Amino acid sequence: MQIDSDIIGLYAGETRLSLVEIEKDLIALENMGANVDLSLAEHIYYTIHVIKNGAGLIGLLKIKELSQKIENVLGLICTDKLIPNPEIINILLLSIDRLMELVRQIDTSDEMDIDEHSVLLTGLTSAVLPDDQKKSITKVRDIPLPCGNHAFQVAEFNLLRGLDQGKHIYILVYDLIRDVQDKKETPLNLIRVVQQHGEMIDSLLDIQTVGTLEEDKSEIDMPYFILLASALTQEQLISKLELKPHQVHQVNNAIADLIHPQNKNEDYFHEKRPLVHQTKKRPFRKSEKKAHHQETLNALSNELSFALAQVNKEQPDTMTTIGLKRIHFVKKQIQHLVELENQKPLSDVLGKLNRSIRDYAFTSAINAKLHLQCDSINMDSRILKRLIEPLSDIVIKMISAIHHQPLDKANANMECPIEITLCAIKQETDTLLKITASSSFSISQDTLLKPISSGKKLETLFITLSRPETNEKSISLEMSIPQDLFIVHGYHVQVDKHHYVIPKLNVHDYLLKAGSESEMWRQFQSSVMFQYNNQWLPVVDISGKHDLSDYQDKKGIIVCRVGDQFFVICIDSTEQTLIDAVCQAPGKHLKAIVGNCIDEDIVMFVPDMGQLAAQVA
Amino acid sequence: MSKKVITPGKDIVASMVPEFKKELQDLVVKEGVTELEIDLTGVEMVDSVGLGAFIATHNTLSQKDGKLTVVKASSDIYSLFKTMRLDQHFEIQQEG
Repeated sequence: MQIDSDIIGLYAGETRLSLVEIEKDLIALENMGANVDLSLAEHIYYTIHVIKNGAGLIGLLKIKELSQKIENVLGLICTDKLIPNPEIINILLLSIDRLMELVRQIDTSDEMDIDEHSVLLTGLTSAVLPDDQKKSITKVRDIPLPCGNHAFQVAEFNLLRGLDQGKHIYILVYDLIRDVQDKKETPLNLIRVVQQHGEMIDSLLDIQTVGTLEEDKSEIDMPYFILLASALTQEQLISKLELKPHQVHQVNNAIADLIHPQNKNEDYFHEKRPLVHQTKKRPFRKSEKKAHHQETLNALSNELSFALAQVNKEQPDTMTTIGLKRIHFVKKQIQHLVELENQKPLSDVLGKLNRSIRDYAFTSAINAKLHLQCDSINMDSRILKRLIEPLSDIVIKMISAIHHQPLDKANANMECPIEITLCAIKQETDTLLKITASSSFSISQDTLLKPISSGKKLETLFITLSRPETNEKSISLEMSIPQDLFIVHGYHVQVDKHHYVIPKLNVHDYLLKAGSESEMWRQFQSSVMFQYNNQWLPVVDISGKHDLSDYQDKKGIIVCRVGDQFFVICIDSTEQTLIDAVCQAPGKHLKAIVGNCIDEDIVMFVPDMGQLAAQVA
Repeated sequence: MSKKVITPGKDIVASMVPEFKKELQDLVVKEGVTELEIDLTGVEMVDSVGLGAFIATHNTLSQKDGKLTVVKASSDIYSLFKTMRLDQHFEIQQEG
């Protein structure tokens, strides 16, 4: 069977895409540390398994071999025996890179060298096994052929892998003349058919039986043996491969000790659970995760404090590049840590947006469609959730604006759907969301700006919204969602059990145990005012609805200044704590680090001081 | 003796194998060639009988301490030989 070059091209194309995905997934896996997301690990395992099987079917030996070795390592991660630390992920990523090179040069891939990567991967597999099992990597076991005069020599590890996946090990016996040639088949086709029903561990052609050129044999024998790991039963295999019972031998005796280990508890390979279809997750190790996070955050916090202190000692013009780089590095590490639990594919969350647009289009009887182009981009789900409403708002108003254009300006059929495309592009420090509405109408910029009343909601997420651009064919606007963490130097305070960081830059005065005297307070229309230095300053409520008596009960007062505007924030904290808070963009308040006293359950909010000042102006 | 290169130029299948084997016999048995290179340029398929011809040639050369090398194999043929572990018996090189 000649494999069509189109099929190889299709395989190469799909495999390249899969490898790009695997690369991203591996990085996500690394960020999870000990808290492995088994479903993600199994997804990667399954993807590489498909690549391997495809290579087997097409006959791409090196791609199959390297995929197999990567799969072995992923199998250990899936079975919770290998924690994907940076070293392991690095080896996997290097191997994926090499696999990509093989796929890019698919025609000559079988001549390319994979020894270096094979050694690394095999070493990895070996290294994580318990001492008593390490030898299974190198230990070769003899599997005698049914005729008894030869034996397969197979690494024990490969047999164990097959058994671990719930497979049976068989020896298939063929005669390449009677069972293949006489049936007008080719050996290559035979191999491909067999590979569709299991994993070929090894195969052996009895070349001695074939004889020499000098022997004048009218009929030659060509015994060919295949060692196959298959989930099929013997009967199923006989039926599927159209074999006779004597051609299928289940291997039992030679691997009896592997099938029935003496101590199952010590031998994870023998736990009969499939790797890919595993539904029962391991117990959620919350305490482990928390301890791990706590420890890492503490270390990073110390590192950050040290780096900041070092840089702050220097004059701005003499700040050391190393110090700044160090801060940047620590910020990145913290970012990985705080994001790892919350990364979700953009497409998953924006699916809700799609539904809301569909609902709007249906109820408004407008023919409109939203196309999402955000494959393989992950973002913090907390940011994404906050994006749904404003994005829906923007898109709906864009659809509405286009739909209600005066007909005399139309140069296209109104029956054509209004198509909005939301395209996400991951950039170095932010994610760019570009919303484009295909329209053949000419729309004034004023009309385009009108729908964007959600701007303020986005501003509170630190998202910048560009001014829409328009031309004759389409309208589009862009929003930039920052991804980097930023550091806020300020006071950690509590207000109604919520934690806040008030930037020191905006703190004019910090008064503890002040304001209990009633004459210092005054209700003015709907606002509460506090007397400070003989001036009445507006009180800003940053946590909820309060009346005058609530404010009087507070433990402290912070007098804030933004530009020329002064205002007051009432707090419950009883002492001043100055910190460097590391914050995330979504509402500037997801996580923060407080010196060495980190509690990862504390979520801190950094109020938008400019917005608060504007409220009371 | 010397090295010889043979180029069948067409698929090595049952219908051509008797003639091909005769040519191989002449080279290896009669002429005493011990280093034989089979150039598979233009060969897209090898069936079981054709495979037998390669193995018989290898077995014959082995008896004479000779060596068989198969060169310019198509990816399919290269894949077949590798899967059958024939590369453990004689050298095979892919085309390109």
